[in-house]
Amino acid sequence: MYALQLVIAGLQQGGIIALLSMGLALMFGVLRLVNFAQADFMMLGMYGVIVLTATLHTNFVLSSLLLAIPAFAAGLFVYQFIIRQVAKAKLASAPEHAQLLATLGLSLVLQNGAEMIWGATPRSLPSAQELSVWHIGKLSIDQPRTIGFCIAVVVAVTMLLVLRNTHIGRTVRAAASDREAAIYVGINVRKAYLLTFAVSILLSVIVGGILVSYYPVTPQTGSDFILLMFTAVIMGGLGNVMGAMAGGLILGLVQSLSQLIIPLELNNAVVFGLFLALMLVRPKGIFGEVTRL
Amino acid sequence: MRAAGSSGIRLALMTDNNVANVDVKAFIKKKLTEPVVSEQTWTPPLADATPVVSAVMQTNPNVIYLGATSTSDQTLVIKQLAAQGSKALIILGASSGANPVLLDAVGAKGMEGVLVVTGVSFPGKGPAEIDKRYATATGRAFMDCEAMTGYMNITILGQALEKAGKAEPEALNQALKEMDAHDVPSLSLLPGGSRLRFGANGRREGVVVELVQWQDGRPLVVYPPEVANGTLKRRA
Amino acid sequence: MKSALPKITPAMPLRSAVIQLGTIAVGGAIAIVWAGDSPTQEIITLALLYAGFASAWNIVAGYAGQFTFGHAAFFGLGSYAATILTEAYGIAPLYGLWLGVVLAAIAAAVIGSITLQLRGLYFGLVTSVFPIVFSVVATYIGLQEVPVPFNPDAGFAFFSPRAPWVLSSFALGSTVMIGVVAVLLMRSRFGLYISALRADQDAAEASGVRTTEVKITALVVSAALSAVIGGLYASAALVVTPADVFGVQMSVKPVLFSVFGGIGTLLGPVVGAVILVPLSETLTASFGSTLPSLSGLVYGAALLLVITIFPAGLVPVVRDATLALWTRRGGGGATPSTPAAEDANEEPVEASSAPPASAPVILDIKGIFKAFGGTRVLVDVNIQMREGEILGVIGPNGAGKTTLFNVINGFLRPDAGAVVLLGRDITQAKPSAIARAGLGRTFQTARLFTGMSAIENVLAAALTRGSKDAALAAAWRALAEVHLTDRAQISAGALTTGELRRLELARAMATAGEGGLLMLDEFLGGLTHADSAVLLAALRRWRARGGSVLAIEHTMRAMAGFVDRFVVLNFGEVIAEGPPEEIWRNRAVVTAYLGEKWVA
Repeated sequence: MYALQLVIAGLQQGGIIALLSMGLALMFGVLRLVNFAQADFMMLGMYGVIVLTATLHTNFVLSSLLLAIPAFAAGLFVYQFIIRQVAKAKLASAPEHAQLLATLGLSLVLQNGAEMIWGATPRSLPSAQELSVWHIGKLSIDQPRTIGFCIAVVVAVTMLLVLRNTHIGRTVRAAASDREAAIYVGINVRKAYLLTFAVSILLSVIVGGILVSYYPVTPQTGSDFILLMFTAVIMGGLGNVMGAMAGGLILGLVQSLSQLIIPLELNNAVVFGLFLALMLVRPKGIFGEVTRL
Repeated sequence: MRAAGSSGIRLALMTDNNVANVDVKAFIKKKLTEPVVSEQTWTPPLADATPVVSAVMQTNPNVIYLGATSTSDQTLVIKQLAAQGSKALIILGASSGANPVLLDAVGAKGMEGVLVVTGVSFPGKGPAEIDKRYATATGRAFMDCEAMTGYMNITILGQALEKAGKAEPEALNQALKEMDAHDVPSLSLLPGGSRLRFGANGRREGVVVELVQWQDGRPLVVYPPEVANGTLKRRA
Repeated sequence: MKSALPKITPAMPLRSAVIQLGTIAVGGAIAIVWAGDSPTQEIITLALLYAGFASAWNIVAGYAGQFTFGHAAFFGLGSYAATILTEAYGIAPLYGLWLGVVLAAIAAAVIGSITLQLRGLYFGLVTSVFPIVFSVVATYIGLQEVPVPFNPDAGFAFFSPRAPWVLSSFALGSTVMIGVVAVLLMRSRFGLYISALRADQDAAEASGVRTTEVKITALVVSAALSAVIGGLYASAALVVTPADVFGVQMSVKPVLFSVFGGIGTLLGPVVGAVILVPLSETLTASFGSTLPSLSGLVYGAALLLVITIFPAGLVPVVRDATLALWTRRGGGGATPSTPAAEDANEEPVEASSAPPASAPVILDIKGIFKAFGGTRVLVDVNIQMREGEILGVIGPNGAGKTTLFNVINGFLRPDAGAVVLLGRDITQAKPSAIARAGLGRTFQTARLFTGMSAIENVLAAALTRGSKDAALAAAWRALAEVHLTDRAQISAGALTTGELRRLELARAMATAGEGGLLMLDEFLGGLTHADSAVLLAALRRWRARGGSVLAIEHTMRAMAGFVDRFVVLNFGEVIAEGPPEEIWRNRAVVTAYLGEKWVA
């Protein structure tokens, strides 16, 4: 029973990491960009939902949906005025790192900016005070986490369906698999890039909306997640969206179940130790570094 | 795990591995004769308290000492304990456990009956006036421990500086060492403290620990009696 | 011979390096004296420590191009070692920190070995995990807070707490020392290897540079130097906690300062730190009470601004601007001399005949199989080459030619079969070892070490074959062979396509050494007649001196008058082999190229 409780907790946590990591993987698959600020947009989403819920007196689902518009716009803005500028003027000694460094700078600005606005003390949604639990036998299943997990699954599946079956999705996939070829057949690669970036940011903000329904937010909440996200993405194979999803779920389970055998204190060391071991055996991740969207 | 003692207390220790908490835990284990039924230590921050709380609940404790440094960890553990149907008395080993932030996150219902061990006085009988001034100035419900220690430190240093007569480290140090104060206005914030003195080892003499209990969304001082503005309630 | 060689302008001229390091030393000393016992001294200490840390990071990230985001791992080991030894055994941090240096070096060697197969972003991301693991473990074993024992009257080796200038002087000394190490490193043979590694790891490996060793060495040196700074930092911070010394912020700092000042430059990391640290500290002191997180915001904004506006960093931008101003005034005469017109007509070299059948076998390819996933790319390929032979491998696109090259030079391992070069089985050898055994190659699109001059490109390869003098002579000879002597000091990035191809051949020649084997991947494609003539003549002379050539083309025409023999690959199989005139008439070959219907 205890183990089952841990499995449930692991899946719930893993679902969140999975959805976050999918956005990161999509971005890498299409733009070849590692975004250090990805989790900080989640953090902004969490604050955004708190502010919207308080001012509009609504619930967190509606606030999250309302937040989607500014989130998408923020994505467009960041891509247009930062990422693309950097792509144009590449760092002579490390071209592949220029954009990454830009996102690192962005991450610092977002974290410290948030601290300036909202302070360092944790904030929570008033509705997060409610204790809502389903009891099944001796199992207790946290409702907000379960609902969050379900939303994460729905969003993830929707995203995969859109990528597979719509015109926009095909455009994005074409740009991801072969930029040159995509340009030749008349696909607007720049638009695809812009769209991908904005959608990835949007995903992070949505996850923020889910997370804040049960997890307090501080300006540093993003940095608690970013390494886990990278780990999930690399485990799944850089750029592999499905792989990132699997990586996130595995990570959640490992984090939760490892305490059956290893002291809880070493939890993070276990996760990253596993990751390093995996890097030794399969440096391209479990599912291989293909841009499989 | 030892068998339940005569007192019937089944203690669970839940702490992060912050130095202070590790030391307190070692001290509790050394001093206490009651059985420790479960002991969980984690590296903060917790992403999810379900696993650690599930482990504790397996052992069915009726008193839980929670030594968590971050508000986020305190929140997650307290809520998860309630979610898993714990009726145990929760003792928070940090002054921050009586902060308004925790109330915002967990709610008055969730915090009801939680005990906080603190070395700083919460607005019991004494500092009611300061508390009121603070509340009007900041718009917060009551003065938290960070604000109180900050206020206290500055007033004590101010007193010492005046005594020293010059802003030099040596002189200030000497002034603090020789300090035997009764009239620092912020002293009322110290539990049982009308007098402030430092011993040879630099520590404050005559320290009294204060117990604060959350009742109806307010932290009430329940011990020591001379500053108490509430009485200890058992959990329903 | 030696004295006849023109002088090479090294990437890091001694005079300039001495001036730069001297400026740091004098500037730092003036600041330390000026600050005296005031609180400003602490800011100076911090700025200098970060300057040193950034300079140490710059060695592996800037010079060697291996971005790490986990240098806090090494920094923290220094802090912990120095402090624990002081606390537990009373050993002064000045001596104790050397234990940290040793530990950091060992950790770097291990981390380097674990991550050596990872490149670029992967390497960076994976290295960022190590400090987190160290931090968790340090906490677990009870090192959450190790205070530096406070004894205000402790002596010099404890950095005399009563005299804050002592610690800042040590910080300054370490920063200058790290600069000196960087200069010595970059001016040595190792410096060329490091630069080659940064420019193009594969090309460096194929030129005989043992890139894994170079990478690990650079990481170890950088880590050890970081630990020195970490050890000093503990005495400035007074308490060592995992969140501080192993924290993400600590890993980010050297990246931030180096990028701001100019990554890969000697002065850049120092300039970045001495501008940003005092700026952020001063702003925090002035506005910190109302805007608590100003310092982080300043760092983030600085990084964003630099990356979007002048990604090379402050130092290169200022340097270029000053140079431009200088040139406009007509002072410097920095205009590059126009290169001498290339000889359009290469003097004819007698088309020496194919080697006799009795000549020893130089390359023996035995039954090579290679598949990618389910696709079989090479199927039982057997080729023998004799010393002094010029062999052309032709075949339509996708026939497996480049894969064959990659198998021969060690980039790929065959699934079955063996490759023997000069009597040595090289099937399992590393590309650098194969190169040293006497094999030089070019790539389909030229892959030079950009950022290095033409002569340095060739010299890096030549150095892997022997002493510095011999290498210099060989490098100049190879450049002369391809008529690039007068372009020797030009950066590879500024050469024309034809010149790049010629330079790449010179590098391959220097790699293989006299009498070695050259492998050329479509080396004539897209070249002017003049450039082709230069290349072909150089190759004929190469063969006349006893060397061999293995060349890939996808059409026969280009090489018909040049090769002794053709091997034709189609779908990974050898379908024909023989002298050019025979291949012309071969039915299988025509079918492969043109399809069945053209054969009749």
